[in-house]
Amino acid sequence: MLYLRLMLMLLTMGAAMLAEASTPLVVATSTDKVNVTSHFVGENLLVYGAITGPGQVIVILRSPDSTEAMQQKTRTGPIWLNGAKVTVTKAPGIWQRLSSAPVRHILPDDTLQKLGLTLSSLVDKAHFDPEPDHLDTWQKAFLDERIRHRNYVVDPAGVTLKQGLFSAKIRLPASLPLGHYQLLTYLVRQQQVVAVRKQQIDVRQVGFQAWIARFARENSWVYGIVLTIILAGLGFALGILMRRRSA
Amino acid sequence: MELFLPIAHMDVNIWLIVSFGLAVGFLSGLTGVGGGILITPLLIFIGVPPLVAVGTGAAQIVGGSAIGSYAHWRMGNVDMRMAFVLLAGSWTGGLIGVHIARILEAGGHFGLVVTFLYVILLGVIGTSMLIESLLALRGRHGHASQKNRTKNQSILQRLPGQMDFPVSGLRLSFLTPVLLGFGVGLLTALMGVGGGFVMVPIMLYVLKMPTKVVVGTSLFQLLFTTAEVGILQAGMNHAVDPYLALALVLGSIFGTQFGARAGAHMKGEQLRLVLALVVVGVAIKMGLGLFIAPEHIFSMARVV
Repeated sequence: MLYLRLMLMLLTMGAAMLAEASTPLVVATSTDKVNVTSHFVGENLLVYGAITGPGQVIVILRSPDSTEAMQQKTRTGPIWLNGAKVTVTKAPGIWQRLSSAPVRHILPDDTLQKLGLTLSSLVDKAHFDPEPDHLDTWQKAFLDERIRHRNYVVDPAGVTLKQGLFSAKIRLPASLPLGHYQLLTYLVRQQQVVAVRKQQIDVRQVGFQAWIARFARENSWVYGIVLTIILAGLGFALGILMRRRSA
Repeated sequence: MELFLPIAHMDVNIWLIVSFGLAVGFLSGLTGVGGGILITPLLIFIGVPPLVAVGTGAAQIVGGSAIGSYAHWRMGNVDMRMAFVLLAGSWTGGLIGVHIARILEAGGHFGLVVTFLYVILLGVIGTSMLIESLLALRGRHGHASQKNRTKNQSILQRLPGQMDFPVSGLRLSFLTPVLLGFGVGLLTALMGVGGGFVMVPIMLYVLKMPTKVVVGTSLFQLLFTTAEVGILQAGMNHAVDPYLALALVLGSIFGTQFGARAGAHMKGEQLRLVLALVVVGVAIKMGLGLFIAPEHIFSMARVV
């Protein structure tokens, strides 16, 4: 089903390509909006396009920066206690890099570093506050946690490239930071980036769920009072109902 | 039905939560012992952040106790004067408790403190219930604390601020119920429990209130204490999840009814033994978590 859709997209793309044959890189996505509802369990984002001439493709999806509270467990005697707590800022909540070949094979290290195409460049820019004693341990743990929850993904075979056409399937996890995501597609040829395309994907909360979440955050007192009254009312109504039935 | 919880920030099958309410409500309907002490640990076990588990645990008791309080009030089983004196204490305790919870959470220690409190509380309650029901099953009844009681009574009568409570037929210092309320308010804020297990024995054996009034008055004050703490936890700490609370109320109301009906056909001692075993089991599971090396040394939570 997915491939059928993909084929169709590529066909329409082919026509568009002919029209502007001079561009070395054309990119499109299956959607530019992701709606997070209360039933949202993740979504696939399809990135596809065409390149002219030889080369390799790198696709990067980056969410806005998120703030994380990180905590270390430490052992005191036989008991595991909560140790240091550090707030991590200035790192994206979601970062996925898919490519048609291992990036270190197609680009030199300094270019990768400069363009921020590696996990290590992300964690280098992240800010740990207060700065912990063994920063490198925390940085490594930060990346490990991100990768474990599939928030950070590196897939050197994630882009399928065939006869000038490419496609990539990005799996978005269920818990997404909201905001404008940046989708960058690089065309790499002979150790150099020859073309970049930039797109934006909007991830937003919609429906009743979004309204509740926002209301509970922004009017927390009103929310608390209303919810408490609703809970009391629900308990009361159900109680009366049960009593009537048993009487 | 998978649902994303907006406050707890996690995916959960909402029917699992309803079934928690059903199971705990069933146990409390069966035995007459409030089930609030089991809800919060269950929520923590499935990964709800401890502060949200505690805040939501308190809020859902509002739904569970509304109809009972109303029924007792209608039957005249509530000592209103006593209830308001108790509330003066428990609202203060609740307010201070929610502040303490906020400070502990900011330092990253709330989860650990809650675990400790639950291991102690569930351990003590579970063990005493276990001993009591085993003794009862063997046909013995202990009345050991008779002497202490008369001694306590004379101290209580010498406290300043003596006050008449005509419905209960008592004269005692208002300080005693205020302090009792204060302790229960703290427990509600820090553990998400109603505190009936503390309130009822003290009313019966220390304050010597008539049994008829004890249940009604404790339920009545518990309703308003949990309501206050629920509002404070939502307003101050963003710690009450609406879907969790609604699902728990739904489950526990039905569970309590089924439990009460089933309980009519079963023996009390054996039922209490079952509940005691469940409580001790939960205490052990929580306690073990302190000693078992965590799978991941580092944990991370998104701050909104």
